[in-house]
Amino acid sequence: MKFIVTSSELQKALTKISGVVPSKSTLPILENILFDLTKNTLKLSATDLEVSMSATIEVKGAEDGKIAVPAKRLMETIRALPDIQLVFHADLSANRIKMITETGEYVLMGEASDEFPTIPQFKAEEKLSLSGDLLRRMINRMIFAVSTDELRPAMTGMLLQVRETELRAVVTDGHRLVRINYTGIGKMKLKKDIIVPAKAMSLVSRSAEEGENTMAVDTTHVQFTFGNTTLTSRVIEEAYPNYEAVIPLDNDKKLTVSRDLLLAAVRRVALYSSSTTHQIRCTLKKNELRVSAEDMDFGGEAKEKVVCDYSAEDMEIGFNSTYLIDILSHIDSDEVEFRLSSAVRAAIVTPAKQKPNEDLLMLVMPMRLNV
Amino acid sequence: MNSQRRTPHIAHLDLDCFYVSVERIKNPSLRGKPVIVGGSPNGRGVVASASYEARAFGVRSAMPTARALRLCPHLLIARSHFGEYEAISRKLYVRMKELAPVVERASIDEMYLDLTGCESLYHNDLFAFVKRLQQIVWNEFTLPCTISLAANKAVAKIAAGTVKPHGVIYVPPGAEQEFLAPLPIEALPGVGKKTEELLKRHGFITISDLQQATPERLKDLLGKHGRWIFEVALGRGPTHLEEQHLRKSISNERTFSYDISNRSELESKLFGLTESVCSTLRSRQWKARTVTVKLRYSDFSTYTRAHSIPPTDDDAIVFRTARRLFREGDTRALAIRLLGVGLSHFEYEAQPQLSLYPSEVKRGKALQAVDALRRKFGENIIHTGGV
Repeated sequence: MKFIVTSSELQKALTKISGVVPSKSTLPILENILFDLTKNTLKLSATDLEVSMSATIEVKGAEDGKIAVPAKRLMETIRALPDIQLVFHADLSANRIKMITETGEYVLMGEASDEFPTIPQFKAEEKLSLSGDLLRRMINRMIFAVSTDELRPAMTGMLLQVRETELRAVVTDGHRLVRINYTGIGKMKLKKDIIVPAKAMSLVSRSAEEGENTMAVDTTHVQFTFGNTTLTSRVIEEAYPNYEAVIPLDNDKKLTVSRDLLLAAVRRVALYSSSTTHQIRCTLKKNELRVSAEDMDFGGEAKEKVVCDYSAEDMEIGFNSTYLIDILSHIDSDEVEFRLSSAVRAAIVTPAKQKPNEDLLMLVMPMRLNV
Repeated sequence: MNSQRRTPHIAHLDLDCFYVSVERIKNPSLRGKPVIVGGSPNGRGVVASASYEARAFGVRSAMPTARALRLCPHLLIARSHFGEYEAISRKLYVRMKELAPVVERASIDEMYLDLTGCESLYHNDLFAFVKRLQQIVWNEFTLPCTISLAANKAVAKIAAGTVKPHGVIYVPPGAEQEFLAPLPIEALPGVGKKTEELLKRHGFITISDLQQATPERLKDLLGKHGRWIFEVALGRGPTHLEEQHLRKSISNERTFSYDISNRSELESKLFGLTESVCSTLRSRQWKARTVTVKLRYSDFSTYTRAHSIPPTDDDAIVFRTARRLFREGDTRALAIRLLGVGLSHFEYEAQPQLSLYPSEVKRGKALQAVDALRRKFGENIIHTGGV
């Protein structure tokens, strides 16, 4: 196997897919990237058995072939090279790889290509076209609230609901929930609910390209295509919690407040909250929100007043400050709206002004205050 | 008085052959005789506690009962009553709390009392007070004990070891090095069999040998642990006591009366252990973040593995994690003699984060009801079904 490529071209392609390579794996072959050369097309693939990515680049091919190359050493070498041409030569009988530049020669040992797991072949029923902006925005808005609890696998992924004229995405970790609806993305024949692992969604957000990207779904996998890169992920085949049932409809106490002011106040006050509970207390009076915290273990307390728009009856509600900070920093609107009902029921947080075609809703459960 | 300048005074109270002493309260005819508390010599019972009369014959804790009986044919064997030992130990702790401001229950038969700053309360003679304390423990609990007084926990513990049983000793501040110098290295806490062998191979026989070494030398030999050994050899050690509520882990383990290789039987034992630790956890209103599983094969090789999960007190969640760890560990074609489950990294649940999904709330209430039933009718009244 032999080809010529510029180091920068190769690096660009490797960077796209290297995020999939597990840093430590019980299967050492997964720490490799599969090189597959057919004529002038080089296909690079990586997989962690759940998520796979591949990218193709054009090279000057001399001899077709396939070999698995150790990802870490390869990436480090390519990154350390200036932008120059290099000859990639692999002796497939000995799994010996040689990269030759004008001044240097780098030899590394690869693995036989048939050791590398087969990347699932994908039969797409239907494709959905999505802009890179939308994908990135959607994922970055919500990925923070995905659960890491392996014992509830459904919640470790993002629920994507494709409807006729709407795409809906949901994440929840049992204490928080984020839901985004997008409309106006064209008519889709596809009607499907899938749960995509969080790792796949973060990679999608990293790889999505300007312009159109496509998403295709079959019974066990989802595939995203961005230009010459594809990402295939197994879907999580579990029942997603009934999230609609937990979104309250009768929260009638409305609070409108500047996102920046509240976020800054919560960040400061949170420094004085207990390091185990992170609890802060929000006291609401007419047009006044007081945020306070005290650290029972080590002493110390803080309180701040934040101007707001509130006219319902007085109330007090406790939150985990970390949750509140997460939520506020993922809403990009000048003002945010809280809709509350009582100190023990979920609070709804939304941007005061939604973006066109977008409907973003966040939910956070309070912490019980020991009054 | 400036609290930083106060000389710390730490007492170590060690109950002499505690389990045997408790059995002797109930059956005074056991007094003055070689007695052990432990399992049956016919099965594979082991010695849990041995009277000093039995120790004279070479009988030691953790020795198979059958062997103890061979060493001392007229040995008396009392059955264990761990529930009673725990209850008595707890009562003693409560009593000690009346006499010292901070008390740490280091184990079922050992306590540390922080008497720093109590000098004037006890007539500026803390040594006289600890002698009286020994008398109090005997008069009120009929339990013999050894008490030591020193400037830190490590020295107090070592000192107690030198005067057991029924001894009292005081190592005055400043005299630590001199006191420790002639003692053998295995008297130091933290020097187990392996460390002892290693150190002896390098010519360290007594603590004075360690005192003359450099910390670097010990660090080279023992790694981080060397630093601790060096400090303790010089008579330095922790003075901070951890009270009961700061317990770091809850665990339960069982040595089976016969080695088990049937996986479903082992998993059902694992489930029983899980239930017991979770019940203790809930009684403290804690949630645990780390689950540890320990298993010992019939050839005595031991496997321990831990995994962290979101804080929980739910038997089912802990069990699923424990079972996974167990299955990862149970890879050898050997039967298993011991299983243990431990929980650690606690969170206090006084200000609970409410959950979005009501099923968790219901589950919590169900578990509380289970605990209440167990308290009233005993551990075996109710078990969770398969998960």
